[in-house]
Amino acid sequence: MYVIKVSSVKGGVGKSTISAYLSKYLSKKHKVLLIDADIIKYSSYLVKLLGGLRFESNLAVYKVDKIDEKILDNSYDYVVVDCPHFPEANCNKINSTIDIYVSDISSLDLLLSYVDSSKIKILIINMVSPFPEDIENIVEKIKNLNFDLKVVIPFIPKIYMSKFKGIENSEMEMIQEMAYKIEKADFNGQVISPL
Amino acid sequence: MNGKLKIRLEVVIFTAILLSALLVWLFYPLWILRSANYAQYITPLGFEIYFFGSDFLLISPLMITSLIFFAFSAIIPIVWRSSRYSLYSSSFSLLLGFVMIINALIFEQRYLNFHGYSVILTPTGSFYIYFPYSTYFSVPFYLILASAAISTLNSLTRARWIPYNRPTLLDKLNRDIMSKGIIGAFSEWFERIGIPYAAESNKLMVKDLTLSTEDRGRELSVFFPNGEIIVFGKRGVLYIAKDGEIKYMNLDDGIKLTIAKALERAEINREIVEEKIYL
Repeated sequence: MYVIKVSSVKGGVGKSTISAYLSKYLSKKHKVLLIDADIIKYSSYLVKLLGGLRFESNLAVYKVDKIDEKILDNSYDYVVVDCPHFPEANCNKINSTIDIYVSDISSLDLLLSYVDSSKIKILIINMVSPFPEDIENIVEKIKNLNFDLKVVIPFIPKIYMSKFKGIENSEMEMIQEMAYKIEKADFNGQVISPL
Repeated sequence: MNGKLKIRLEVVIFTAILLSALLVWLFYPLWILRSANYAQYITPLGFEIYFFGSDFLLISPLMITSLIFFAFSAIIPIVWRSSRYSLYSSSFSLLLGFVMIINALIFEQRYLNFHGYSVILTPTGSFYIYFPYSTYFSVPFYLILASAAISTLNSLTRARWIPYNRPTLLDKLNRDIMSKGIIGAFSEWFERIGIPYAAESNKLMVKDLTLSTEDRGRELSVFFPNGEIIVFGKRGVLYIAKDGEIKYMNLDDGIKLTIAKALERAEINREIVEEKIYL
């Protein structure tokens, strides 16, 4: 079982959306448990969780306020934990396999000062200006950072529609590619970007 | 001169034929006058006269010069590939060489043949003979003629008369983009095709299609796109549709998309066609 912790240094950077989409893509081939431990419970809302627990094909979702090691069920291939933003003590109890750090441009430096993990580390820069020049600049800036995988996600206005359409009917190609890399354990420090 | 430029097949064919003509000429005369007991030949070094088993060579600068002109003509398009002027030089040099050969023939007719009599030079004197003979051109002459035809064709077509590896319009556009940049190249091409456009420093607008390379002024919007937007980066292209849907693609696909979207907005001016009909 792989435990993937998704965290950020501040709210509003897209951590829950990324957790939901990552769970969706991993669940295409594997049994996945998404634990929504964030305060506002947005990732479970995105996967249209209505009654506390919902199974759809391979994806199961828990909405929890407190994380306990007992919740990590070995019957799943992947457990994705949508953590509250830093500083928090709840998610620290979890012995994760992969730590995903989500940030926007403005909080990147702050995030880097918090990152202290010996686990597999993935950095996601979310909501980057979608214009090629800006994406190229960000890729250039982060390509040498000490992460096992780096992902640049452009700001896509239509992604907001996913809360109406459900994540089943909308796609995030960068997260899909990241999920594929996680499945293949292909962590070579490369940058995944739309260009 | 650029060693990286590939040699066109047309040039290779020309050079091969001309060099083989010169090679054959070294061993076999270009023009022959043959009689029962004597012969006159045009060789690369001059006029060779054969008479009853003895050979005499009348060295002539005409043939030596023509040999040099032919060799220059064969080699110059191989060495100098960066310009079409090497093809013109080659043709001109071949023409000069050919003129030398014609001069040699005139010389032969004027001084070594006269009213059916042949002048047979020997090491010790000369004979003046009236005897039936026949004259004919041989293989090197026809090879030189063939290479002259090919050289002319090469000059007229810039060595592109064989339909292979011919640059398409897309190749030419891509080459222009490399040299003039996205905005410069597309503005030229829009003019050529007849697509009306408006230009700003880093933007081209074809009706409601905006083509841009950067957006330092933050004028473009992904929230409220005004028409369709295509933004070129160094490694990829962003396309924003009217409904705000965005799509990334590589540069080649971006170029093709720009052409397609611009052509959608082009108008064919039928009045010009009709004017030509009545003219």
